[in-house]
Amino acid sequence: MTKGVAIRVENLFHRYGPRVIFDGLSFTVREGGVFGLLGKNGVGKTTLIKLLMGFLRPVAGTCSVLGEASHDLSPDVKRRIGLVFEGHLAYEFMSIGEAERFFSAWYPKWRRDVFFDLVDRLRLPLTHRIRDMSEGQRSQVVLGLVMAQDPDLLILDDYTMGLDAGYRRLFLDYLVHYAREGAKTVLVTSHVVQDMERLVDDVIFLRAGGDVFQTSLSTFMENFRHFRLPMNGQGSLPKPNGVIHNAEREADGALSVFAFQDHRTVETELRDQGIEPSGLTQIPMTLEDAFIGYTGKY
Amino acid sequence: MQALLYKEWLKLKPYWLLILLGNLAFCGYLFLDMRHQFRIEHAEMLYYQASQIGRLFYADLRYVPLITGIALAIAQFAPEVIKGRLRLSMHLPVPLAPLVIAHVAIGLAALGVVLALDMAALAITVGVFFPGAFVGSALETALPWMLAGIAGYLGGSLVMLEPIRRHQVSYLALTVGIVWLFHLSTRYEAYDRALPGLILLVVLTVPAILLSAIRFRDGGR
Repeated sequence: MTKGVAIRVENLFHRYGPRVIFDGLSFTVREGGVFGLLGKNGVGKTTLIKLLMGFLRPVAGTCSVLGEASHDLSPDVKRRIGLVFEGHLAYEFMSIGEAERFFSAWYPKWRRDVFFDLVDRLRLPLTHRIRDMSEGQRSQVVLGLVMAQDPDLLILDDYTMGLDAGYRRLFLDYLVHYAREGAKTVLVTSHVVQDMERLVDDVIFLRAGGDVFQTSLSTFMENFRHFRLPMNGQGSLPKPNGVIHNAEREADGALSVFAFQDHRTVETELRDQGIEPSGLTQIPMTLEDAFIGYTGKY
Repeated sequence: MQALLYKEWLKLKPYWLLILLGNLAFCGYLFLDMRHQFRIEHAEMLYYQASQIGRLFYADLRYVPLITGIALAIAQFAPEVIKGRLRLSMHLPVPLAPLVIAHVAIGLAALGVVLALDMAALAITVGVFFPGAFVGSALETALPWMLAGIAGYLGGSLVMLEPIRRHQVSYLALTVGIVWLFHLSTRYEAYDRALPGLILLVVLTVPAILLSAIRFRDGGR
């Protein structure tokens, strides 16, 4: 069965005053996958999420979510989208029980069981006010509320913010289980790239100027390689080109080379650029290493 | 929309009760102050001062509705705009215009109850100490102050929801101007003929709130 498209961004142009953020950005998110939007600070991740959440109107181009313009969604489509805002925004004047009662009135497919399954683990009375919760506790309530909507698409903006390792893991485990079980579409951003490894099927790398690279996580981790050349006394870095994606000088003087090519091709390229590749070895990478290698440290 | 009413009630309840108590306390003060005046002076003298010299015995009420309106606007919209929480409401499956109008209608209803209490307290206080003809006059005199309270609420809401700084400053100036118009004169029934126009001016701030909400949703551009 062909999967539909949950998010379609086409020729998106956006700017703040004279500062152009995106110029011709295009990508699609198919239904039923978990997508991680990755990028360094300042590349426009927050702007893109705001555009997708409908809280920013694009200057030009298309930004559609579940078939409708993201800044002008109908109530029916809004019902099918669950949003988790940065900082786990919630109505802090509500108690757990009041929040459940309020949100359940808007969503016909409300999953009370899902909400309480998650929230009961906090062992807090239903009368406990959200404003009196820790960041971690609030994140669980917010996730519970969004999952109970039973949305087809979830967009999560930096859910890790303010969470310790335990709550991050709890949040992630629930999200992964929920998304896989219900064949939900999830688009997520996070500063903690290592979490994405457990969560996402596809990664969307956003680079300055709106350059985007979308691939499945497994393909990326299989094809993107990290080579290390011990300190060779040569000051110059190899220039990125069709073979070498990025090169960095490590603190100990070693050279790190990142490429979508195999060992032999990289070795030849280094030699062509006047760098003696003796001792070049491929080393294993986590997603975080790969992310830094792909986007660069600086 | 019932759910919105529930949310607004949860949010406003403590502040609204506090505002209500404050207004009740003021009404008590108004009554006791009036009684005090009638104890230390002959009633005939006070009737003369009111009817011939135009002395207002309840002038302290002037700014109470305004303070009430502004306080209510802050109580209702500050929790929504801090950290952009209004986005939670804006993502509810309801079109933006009914959503904003419902919020404003709920706020106006909450304000209306308090202002009605003020007017009732004024009518009772004047009615107890003055002849019946003074009651209608007192209510007409106080009506612009009540409208200033509504203008304060709508203007306060407008300023808080507006995401663009220069518009915010313009709306603040506009609100101050409208409120100032309602306080130009303290003479009895001074606004009889001007009220319809002033009411229209206040009503026009409602669509402006809607425009601010649209700008908020569109990222303040």
